[in-house]
Amino acid sequence: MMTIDINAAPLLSVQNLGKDYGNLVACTDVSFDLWPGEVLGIVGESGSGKTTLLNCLSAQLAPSRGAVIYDTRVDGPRDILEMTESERRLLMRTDWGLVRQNPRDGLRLGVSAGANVGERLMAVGARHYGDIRAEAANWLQKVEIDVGRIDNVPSTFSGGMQQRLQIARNLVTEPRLVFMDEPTGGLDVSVQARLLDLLRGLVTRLGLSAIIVTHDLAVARLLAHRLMVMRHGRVVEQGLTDQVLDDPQHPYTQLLVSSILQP
Amino acid sequence: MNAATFPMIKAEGITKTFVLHNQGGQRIPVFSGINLTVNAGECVVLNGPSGTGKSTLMRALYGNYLVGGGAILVRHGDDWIDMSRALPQEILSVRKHTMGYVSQFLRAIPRVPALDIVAEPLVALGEDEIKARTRAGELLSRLRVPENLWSLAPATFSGGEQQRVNIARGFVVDFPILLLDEPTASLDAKNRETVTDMIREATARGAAIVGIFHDEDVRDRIGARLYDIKLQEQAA
Repeated sequence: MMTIDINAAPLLSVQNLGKDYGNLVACTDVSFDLWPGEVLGIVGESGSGKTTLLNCLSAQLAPSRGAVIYDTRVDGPRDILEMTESERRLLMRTDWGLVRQNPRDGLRLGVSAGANVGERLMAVGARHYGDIRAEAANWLQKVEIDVGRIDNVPSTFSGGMQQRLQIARNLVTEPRLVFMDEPTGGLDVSVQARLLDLLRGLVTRLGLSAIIVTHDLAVARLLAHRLMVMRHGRVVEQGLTDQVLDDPQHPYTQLLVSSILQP
Repeated sequence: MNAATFPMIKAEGITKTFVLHNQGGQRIPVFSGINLTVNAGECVVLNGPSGTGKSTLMRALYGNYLVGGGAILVRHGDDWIDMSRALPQEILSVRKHTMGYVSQFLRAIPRVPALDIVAEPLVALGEDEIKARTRAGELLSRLRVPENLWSLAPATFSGGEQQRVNIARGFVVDFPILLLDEPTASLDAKNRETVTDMIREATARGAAIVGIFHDEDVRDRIGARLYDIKLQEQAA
């Protein structure tokens, strides 16, 4: 478990967030604060609304109601829904990272691994080719990709390597907040273990805040300080990760926890 | 510091009942009306037959289990934190700085070497990684975990080896409060003696310790105060 200290102001404050698709309520009445250095896990079965929630939080999707207040570096707390499109884009490039479940959605498949990482650096103003390439190589090493592959395109990489490359691409600009949607989904268990170990180390060392959507409770236990359990678009239980998993209170959480296969 | 008058934990009237919603809402009362004060420099042993809720009480003190009523006050620096109502980040802060916990079983993390598992609580406090690993190595040596195992992830270790890694992790920081859930259960006589010594050293430096030990000999040598937990009537 990673640990954090008590902080004064939340980095992200979510108030009564909801998203409807016509008559269908995808998620509703979601409120929480995320503190600097804190990793929040959102768990629930598929269809529980967790990915919709993540997409609303990360400004990928416009919510139907509610507010998402982010503590910006320059202007302090601001509702991301009231920002202009260009302000939001700047936030995505500088302060936020978004790691998608399918790395092919988060990478540019037609350009080299080095360029995938370097591109984010250039977006925040890096111009010196040698520096960018050196930093890209440094990050490939951090995510355990052979630096000899720097000029290869990601379509020649395995799924696990692609996912690690996507993480490097997102973390190279040292964002304050990273959104991750099933970051270990679809990977072999040994590859998953490597990725989890990597994420754990990076999150601790960089002091990142993160919101991680996963249906895998073991992943949630390893990475998250705090958990939110979702069902039918609502948060049914939330609290300290090990407390929610070891002493679940809600019938649905009890069912989830008791349904895990023990190897 | 007068140990007898410096409480570190004050549990007042705490109650625990498990409700199994998926088994017809069955209610399993574990304990009620528990009052327990633990002072700096003393070791309190939770006493009672299996199933009386000794581990449950310990997990409640650690904030791992919720309680139904009462308060669990823990001295955290200059503050008192009520673990039964504290926010997650407050509980994590207590665990980081104030309260260590040696569970019955080590939760091994894939790919993380034993040495790093032991060093982790010190690193979290901001200690230099090399110094933290050196300290972790000293503890593993003292607990006779062979050096060729230190760089391996403990998932494949024997039960006794895993438990010693767990103990080393709990003692790597000089926590003001230590919770020990049967730390000597699967240890041989020599290692049991080492752990007993470590506990005595911890109380000597002023740590408040709550433990579960079935071994009479260990209890005697620690000089522990017994706290009896009585079996609850099963509700129909």
